[in-house]
Amino acid sequence: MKVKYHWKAKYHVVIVGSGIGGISAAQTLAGHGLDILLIDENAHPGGQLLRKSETSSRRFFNFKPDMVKTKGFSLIKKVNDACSEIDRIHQAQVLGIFNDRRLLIHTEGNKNQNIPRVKNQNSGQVIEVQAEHLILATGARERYLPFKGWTLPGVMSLGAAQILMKSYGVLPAFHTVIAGSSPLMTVLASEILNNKGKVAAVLDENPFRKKLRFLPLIQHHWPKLLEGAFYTAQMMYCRVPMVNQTRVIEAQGKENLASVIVAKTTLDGHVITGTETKYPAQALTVGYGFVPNIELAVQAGCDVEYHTTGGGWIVTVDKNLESSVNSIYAVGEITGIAGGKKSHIQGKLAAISVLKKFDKLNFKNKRSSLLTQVKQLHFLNHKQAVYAAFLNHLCRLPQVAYSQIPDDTLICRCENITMGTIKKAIEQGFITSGGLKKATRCGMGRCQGRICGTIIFDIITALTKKNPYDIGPSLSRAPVKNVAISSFLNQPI
Amino acid sequence: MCTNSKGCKNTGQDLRIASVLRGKKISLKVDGNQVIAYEGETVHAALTAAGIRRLKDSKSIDSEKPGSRGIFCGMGICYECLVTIDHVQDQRACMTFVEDQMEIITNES
Repeated sequence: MKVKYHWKAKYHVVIVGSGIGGISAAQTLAGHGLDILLIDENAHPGGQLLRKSETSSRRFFNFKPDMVKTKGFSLIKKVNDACSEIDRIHQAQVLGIFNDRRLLIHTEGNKNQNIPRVKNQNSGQVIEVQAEHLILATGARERYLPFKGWTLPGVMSLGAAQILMKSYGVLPAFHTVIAGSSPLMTVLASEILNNKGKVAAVLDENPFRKKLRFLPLIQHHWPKLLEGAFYTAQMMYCRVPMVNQTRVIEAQGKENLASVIVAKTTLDGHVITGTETKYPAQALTVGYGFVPNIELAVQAGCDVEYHTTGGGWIVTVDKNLESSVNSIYAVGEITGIAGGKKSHIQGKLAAISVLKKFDKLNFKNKRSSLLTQVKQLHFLNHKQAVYAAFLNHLCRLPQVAYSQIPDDTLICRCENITMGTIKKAIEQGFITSGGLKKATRCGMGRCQGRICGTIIFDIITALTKKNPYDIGPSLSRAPVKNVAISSFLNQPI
Repeated sequence: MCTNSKGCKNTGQDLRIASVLRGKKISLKVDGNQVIAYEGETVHAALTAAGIRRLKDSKSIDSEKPGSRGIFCGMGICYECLVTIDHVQDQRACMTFVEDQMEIITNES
């Protein structure tokens, strides 16, 4: 079968990730006569933040004082309109970045072009593209706290439940328990209630006191606070039980989730025995903040640094958002978790840095106004740090939450490695991320440590009290994502 | 399909939100049974709507108890939702879109 290919072998700029950071960069770059390629794993641009399904009615008034999403959706439209300049590959994953910014990309190929799937032949193909400048906008994933039974079908991330509803209009279950320490919890509860679903309970790890302490940090982000207050009022109106200082200790069920056992915790994070409560539910959504997706940057050789206020290991960048590797830029959540606003600003800043290198920003150029924006953008970028500190501290769990995970709890879901096995290996002296991986196989499964990597890092930190740089981040090698061997054999015609 | 009789007031209905506008109604074959889906949905959304949550059993070498798995991250990173789609094993249900007459097998060993 002959398939038409839309990409070139070489681009002025390749952007990995079409979330708000990636599309912001693409939109700024467009209109300067550069060849731009945007690569994304999903079928549509927008990333994890900008997802919406077409609806005809809503139960509650749609309250959105925060303008980031509105801006984001208009960006998607602009990028769609600039399709003559911006090539896009969707449903594709970058497997590795090699010398001179050569990218190995796995693409579903025929599915992209809306050509019907050929039975038994959908492993896609691997292509190579070279970038003069490369912008990484690979986003973030969620952070978890393992508990007994967290592998049962029905237990899912907060994001998974949001994707089901926002992208596909499907409720996660008839009764959903929402737990964790993430601000996504109230957003999800509101979405479920808006769509006539039932929220069995919202269980917050954080003591009310901790939330109050962080209030001054949010000063410039009052719309977010207002949004939170609105969601809380909505939950009260719908009589959803909301409990603070509560941790999920077990998910029960035979083949699927049937009920959730939770317990109260002390202010410093110890579980108080005898306070267990049971909630029947078919879905339990959990999330404890966010982790930057640095795997591709690490594989490419970019330096990383550790910041609790940025969500853990992040890519080191200079003020032009260039990483330690020449002409590889990093924007958005991978330079520190701070939400869509920062991604939007950084996407623009990185694009301006690239345009400067191509000498596209001189005063003869009518878009030189971009240069005048730089100072303001740097100021705004810096301001996001306040919100970042609030967000990441709010989500952060006390170390005892990790050190006291029971021995029979699975930590690595892919390889079924328990807390007991990990503790034993740590006692034997395997106290780096890399060493523990070799000793136990944790993080060697299909997800390549994307789920358990940060959990294991937090367990080592909690048990050994070591410095983050002594433990180190997990290494990444190409291919950074699973790919069928056969896809290497399906060469473009 | 709802296993909890107490919690299932709208009997005969699935988990799809009524107000959402959907694509063309199509039909999937899941483990030999016919399941309704709509164009534009992913396999994982269609299976969730139909009440099918167990997608695979964990296959790790050292595992004493394999344990069933389902959707976890929903965004293509955890690989817990792997199913066989049109005879191709280990496809991520959350990243694959439904097509009419698609054959899906859960937990194929």
